[in-house]
Amino acid sequence: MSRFVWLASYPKSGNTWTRAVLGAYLGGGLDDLGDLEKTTMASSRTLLDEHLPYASGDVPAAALDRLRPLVYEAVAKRPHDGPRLSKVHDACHDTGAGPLFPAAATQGAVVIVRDPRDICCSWAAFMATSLERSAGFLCNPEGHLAGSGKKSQTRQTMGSWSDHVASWLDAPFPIHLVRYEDLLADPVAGFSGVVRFIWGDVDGPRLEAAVEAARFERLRAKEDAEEHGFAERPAKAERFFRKGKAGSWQEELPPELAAKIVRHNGAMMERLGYDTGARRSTPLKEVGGVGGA
Amino acid sequence: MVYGVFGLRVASDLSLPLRPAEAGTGPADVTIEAAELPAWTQWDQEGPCWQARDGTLRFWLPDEFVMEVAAGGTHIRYHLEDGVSVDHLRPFILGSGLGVVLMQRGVLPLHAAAVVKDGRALLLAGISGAGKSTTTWRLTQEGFASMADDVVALDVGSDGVTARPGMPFARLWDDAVERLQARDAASQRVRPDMEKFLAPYEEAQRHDEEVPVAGIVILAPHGHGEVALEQAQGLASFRQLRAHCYRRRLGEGLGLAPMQFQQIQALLTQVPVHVLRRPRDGDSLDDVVAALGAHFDALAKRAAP
Repeated sequence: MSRFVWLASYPKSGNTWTRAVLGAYLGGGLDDLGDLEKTTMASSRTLLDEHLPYASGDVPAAALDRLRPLVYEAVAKRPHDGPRLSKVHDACHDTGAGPLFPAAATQGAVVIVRDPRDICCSWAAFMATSLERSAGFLCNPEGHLAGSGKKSQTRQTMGSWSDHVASWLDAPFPIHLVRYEDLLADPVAGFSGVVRFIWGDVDGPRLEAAVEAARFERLRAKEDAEEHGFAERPAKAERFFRKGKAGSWQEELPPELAAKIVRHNGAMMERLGYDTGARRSTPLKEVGGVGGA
Repeated sequence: MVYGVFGLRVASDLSLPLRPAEAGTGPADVTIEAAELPAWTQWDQEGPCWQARDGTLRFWLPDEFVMEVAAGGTHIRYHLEDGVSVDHLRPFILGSGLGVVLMQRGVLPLHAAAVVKDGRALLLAGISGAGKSTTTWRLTQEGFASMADDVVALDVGSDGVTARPGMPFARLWDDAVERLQARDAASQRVRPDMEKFLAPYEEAQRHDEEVPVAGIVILAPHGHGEVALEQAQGLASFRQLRAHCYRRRLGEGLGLAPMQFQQIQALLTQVPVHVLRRPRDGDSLDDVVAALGAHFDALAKRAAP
């Protein structure tokens, strides 16, 4: 029995960086960015196709949502060394036949959040789309990723940014909430909390080395150096690792789009300690009153 | 109706998009029929939506169907839930149903398409979405014939590996249909509620007889960069092939893993395995087709006395 720790976030919120640090912490180095992709992603068709008795591509998306929890339960029963880490962009929702992420298969979730105005800029670059469309995606209660069977991932129900974060904060299992901005400000302290949540304790020197190995500049240089680029970068995006900064929305995002995002998501932003005014959220406030294990 | 596929005579009480069996007598090797299939009270192995008992496999899609593939690969029995059309069932009979029949009969089903030229087959293995069907479709415009779409049935002997003819069509997603300009051929949906189409090959584009296998190429979509082909060696090639055994977990559940292990080992000593890396987007299809054509010629030259 080896249950999942879901590394859950809206896209472009530091999930890949977190996996890079945890990968380096576990493996003692960061030899191949491609290895990141091998961390099982909960929506990966490869994972579903391996365990289901038929091709996920032959099953309509709604039916597949109801099968995914069965796969996670089956995988959690298999022997494995320590908790299984799995990247998730889905909202933590009910499929109509029960929760997508069943408690029986779950040890807990690391929930990574980021100022949605920064996500908007990053997502636009990642998808090679306009800032308007990107802001529309963050505010869309019907938002979802992938969708058609030909993709390497199955459809992922997201909702708006607020819906997405709320679904994870209300999850019926232990969660550890961490803000991307806090990870950037003090990565060793931030990831210490994450490591402790997952494995119970933390090896300080090993974590410091892991944080150093997965520094943004290094991930970026690695992306540049790799012959084929980082496998998760979509074809149209110039690069996967773009800025790795907090607050750059103030230079990039037109005020009306920033206002739109706040209008639709202000309550959750305030709950997480993000300043909903025109200025960036500095100094970062202590976040109180939300989840955490 | 009696159909011929994978070298088997398949009698079915529902129509299937397969070739009729060659004229002649003899009982069917496999019978496909509706049945009640009350739930089992005990079983040996299980996984998500499947159970195995004494060499028989049952699997199901909730609210749609239950299917049973009997020990020995002699019968496929199905039970449809009320109001579900047989059109929803067919892809599962043609896929996992017949795939399990093959493994129960000691034939190795590989998750691959196959093309044939000069009486020898090149297998294109890959996970779902790797581009097997699309690539095969294009290769049939470059002098190859299609022999199998998603599953290749292999007889692995100590003195040769042969492939049996599989599905006589390509299954293409809507974007591939557009890219290949195959709208006329791809008139039928794989399932009524999905944007995936069944495109039958013309007789001249098909190869319907058993042939020796010249090589296996694993299609590995990667992020970006050039199309590149390299030989897989040793343990890596073993792992690659094992990962591409069709419905490997079902084979394990049926206790067939040791047999498949030996089949892969025997396969590796006789057939070269290469990995073809290509960008994930579809623009590289011409380069992929050119690389595979050149690779096949090189294999043929090497095999020539």
